[in-house]
Amino acid sequence: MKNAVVRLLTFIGGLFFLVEFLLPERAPAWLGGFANPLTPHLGVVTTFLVVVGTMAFLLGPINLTRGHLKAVWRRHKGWAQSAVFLLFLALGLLATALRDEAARGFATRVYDALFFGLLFAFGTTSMAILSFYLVSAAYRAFRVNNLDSGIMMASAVIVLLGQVPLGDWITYALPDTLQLRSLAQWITMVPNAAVQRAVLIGACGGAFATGLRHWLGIGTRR
Amino acid sequence: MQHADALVAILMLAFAAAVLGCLWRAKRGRVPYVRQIPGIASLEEAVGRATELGRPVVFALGHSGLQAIETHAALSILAHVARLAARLRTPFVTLVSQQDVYPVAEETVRQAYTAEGVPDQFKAEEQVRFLSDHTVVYAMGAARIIEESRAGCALFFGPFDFTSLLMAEPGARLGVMQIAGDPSLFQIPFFVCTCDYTVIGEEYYAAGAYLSADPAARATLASQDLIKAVFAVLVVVGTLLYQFHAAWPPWLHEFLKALKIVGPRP
Repeated sequence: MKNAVVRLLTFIGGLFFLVEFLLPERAPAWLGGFANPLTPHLGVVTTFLVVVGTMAFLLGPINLTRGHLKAVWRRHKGWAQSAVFLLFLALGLLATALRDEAARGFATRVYDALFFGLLFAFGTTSMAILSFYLVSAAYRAFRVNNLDSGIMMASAVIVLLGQVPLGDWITYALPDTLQLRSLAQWITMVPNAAVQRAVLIGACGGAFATGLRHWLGIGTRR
Repeated sequence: MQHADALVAILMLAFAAAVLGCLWRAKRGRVPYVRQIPGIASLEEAVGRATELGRPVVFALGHSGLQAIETHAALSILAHVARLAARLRTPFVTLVSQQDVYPVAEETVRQAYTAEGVPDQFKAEEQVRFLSDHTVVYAMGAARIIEESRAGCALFFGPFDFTSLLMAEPGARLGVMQIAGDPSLFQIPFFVCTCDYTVIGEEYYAAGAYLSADPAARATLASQDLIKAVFAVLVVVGTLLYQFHAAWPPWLHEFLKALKIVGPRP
């Protein structure tokens, strides 16, 4: 029974969005020129979705807090990091609740120190070192052990060199079509674009079929 | 608000007819052959290997919310893997980065354990873990869990961003069997480098139906090929029309203009 109700609600919701999208904003004059009757209700239905989504908003952070509380309580490995997390969670919640921008009191200063002094600084620092980590991780992970990875490596080298002055310097004496810049452009615009579009078209078909399956409740019983 | 123009409406109805046609044929017993998808078929091998090693299966969901169809495709795979893990009594951990996906993921894993007859072995707060909605923090947390728990296999399904390599590289370094699926193309090269199997493009969306026990769902996979065939015909026809647009009869131009496929004649 519960399953049937969920399926029915899913079907009605999907039908609303589908018909609203398929009907034109205004019908042609020979059909009476009436406006789309569902469009005025779109805002209400979308707000309903936001309300339902908000109900789940706290569940994730609650799970996170419970997990760390348990780690501290039972002295699991890494419990000190969990304690630091809980401390900063409490500090952040209190500072956000008590801060007053106009008065610039203690809570506001704590808030500024937490968000602009620590979080912002940590975020930009981790983003800055991330690029170096990505290069080193790619170096460790990538192995030229078959034809596919060899082709991938060769194209990557051509595209990388084609983007920098070194590539121009290496091949400036060659005819224009054989220069690394032209080869890089050709790889990007022809084989790469063609394959990307082909995969995208396949994925679009897959997304459409999956959407329809879920909407009609075919094979979604878990 | 956006509304479909005539061409989009026609294509959508045609695609829907293709899916429903395949479904109708399946109901009459004509289920098409579905080729094996290596990345999806190897899920059992991955869970089996984790079981033999006595190590946990780590399943990381992508960064899309509940309203995205990519999430539902990933949840279908999660349901299958959770059932395998429950059947083999293998420790199973799901990592979530979106608050709205968290309760659905929890319910999906709970149902999998219930379906396998071991609901008492499901520990929600230990097995379904929300790490963070910040992608870098999520990736670092996932990498740490894979490394510290010495995962038997790691599975990544859903849309990921530039942090995909951060998540998958520790497992690759430790020799963990890894399978990844991402509907977008940008992170696929990183997953190809670090994972044993990669599920790309349409295979990602086909996974749910491929794993489903319902023959009707598997039959709808044929509609994906029909949709691709329609697109291929449109590409060929569009290319020919573009090449010979100077020779078009006026009625053809007016017809295509009415469908908003072409603009005014150059």
